[in-house]
Amino acid sequence: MTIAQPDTITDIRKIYRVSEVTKDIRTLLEDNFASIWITGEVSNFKRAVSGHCYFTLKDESSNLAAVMFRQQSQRLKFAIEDGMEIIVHGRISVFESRGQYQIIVDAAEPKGIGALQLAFEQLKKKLAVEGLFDPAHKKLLPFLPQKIGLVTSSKGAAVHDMVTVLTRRFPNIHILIYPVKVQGEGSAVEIARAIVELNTDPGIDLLIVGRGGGSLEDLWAFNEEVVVRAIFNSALPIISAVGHETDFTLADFVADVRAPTPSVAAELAVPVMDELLQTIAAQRSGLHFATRQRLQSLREKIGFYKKSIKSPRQILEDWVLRVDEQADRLNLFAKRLFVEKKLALKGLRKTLLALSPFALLQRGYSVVTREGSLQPIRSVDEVKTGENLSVRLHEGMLKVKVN
Amino acid sequence: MSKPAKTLKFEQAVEKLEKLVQKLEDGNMPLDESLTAFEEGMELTRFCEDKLNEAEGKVEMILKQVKGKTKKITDVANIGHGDDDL
Repeated sequence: MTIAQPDTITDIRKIYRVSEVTKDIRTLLEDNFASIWITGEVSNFKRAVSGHCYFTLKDESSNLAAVMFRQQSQRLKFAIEDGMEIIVHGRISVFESRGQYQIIVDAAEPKGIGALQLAFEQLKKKLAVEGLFDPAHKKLLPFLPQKIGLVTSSKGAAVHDMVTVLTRRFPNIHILIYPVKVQGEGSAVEIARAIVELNTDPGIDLLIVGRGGGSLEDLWAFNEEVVVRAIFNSALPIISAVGHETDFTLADFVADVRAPTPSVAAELAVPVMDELLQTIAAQRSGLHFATRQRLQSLREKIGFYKKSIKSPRQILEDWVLRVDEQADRLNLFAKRLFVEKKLALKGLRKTLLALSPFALLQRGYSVVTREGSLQPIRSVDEVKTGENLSVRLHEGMLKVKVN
Repeated sequence: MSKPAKTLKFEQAVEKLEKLVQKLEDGNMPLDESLTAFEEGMELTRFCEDKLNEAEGKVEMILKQVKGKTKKITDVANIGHGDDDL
């Protein structure tokens, strides 16, 4: 449609009413900018109560008003923020009552970084600040789980690997699989619900939540807030096993333990039963051996003491021996003493005899005494004439009178 | 104290057992204590083995269509490969 020109020939001017020209402008813009991609910096971003988003796109010299209605903005994975460089798609139109042209945005992406990537970082920051990833919240895994819940797809390598490894390591293990969609529409909600429901099973003591490898889009459910919060709020400890070694989702950050692959998750979940049985058997052997050793050593000790302890008879015999021995010595000593004394006596006798006056007599001397006395007279002065004296000879005695 | 408490956990029982054997091996226990320790140790080994053999040993999958019902997986080796999508 062409814009009406003043009719210079007839000199009749077309005078527009405001709404008329506005409508024309609107049509002009809508026709020419029905589908356009624009890049710019976001400013004055506001999300109304209605859910509609209003912001301005600008560059160094120009501003463009933008609106993104609720329905479209809800589909955004990331949050639009002031200062962000974004690329939008939409159509230009005119908000007639305000006389303002604007772009009605139906899609938006961050510039320079993937939308998902940005969403990931925004959510990660938000939840980190809330403390969801704090190591203090991580629970210890049970050493010997009785029943393990698996939240994963019922098809594919992940479930196969997990069940295989779990049953191989611990043949008795009780596993309950809660099959879920692991990607696509509604998958995050399903995963979250599975975690909540398995928490109500009193027999389960551990959950493994995961899936096999894929792209960021494929793994996206495990970055969604509803899943992250379900894992955080789980009373049961959770091992996350999402994708491959190099894939890190927010579920991995919030889980109590992150496994790089589903197989490793199974290894972390249960010990190897055979090894445990071997340990117990070894302890049992050790128990037998140590006890036997101890008894043996006690027995030996008793035997040793027994040898050192004497019976009463033994003690008595010992004493008898000792006494006998002493008696013998005493005897010997006494005998020797006796002989000695006898010899000494003999000697003394000999001496005595030698010293005896009677020996003198033998040699011819005599002893003169008064009659009846034993007192020898040694000097003539001792006697008077006519006195009776006795003279003892070696043999016999003479009665004499002094002349 | 010859029977281990029901609430005793497996790993705690193993620890107790190891400590007991260690004490016996140190060789300074009097006779009656040694015998009691042996008895307790044997109880613990039985307890541990029982615990290991306790679990039921089955793999089941929740049937989503029927609330509260599970289906027992018999062909564990082929799990994930078949048409188990419920």
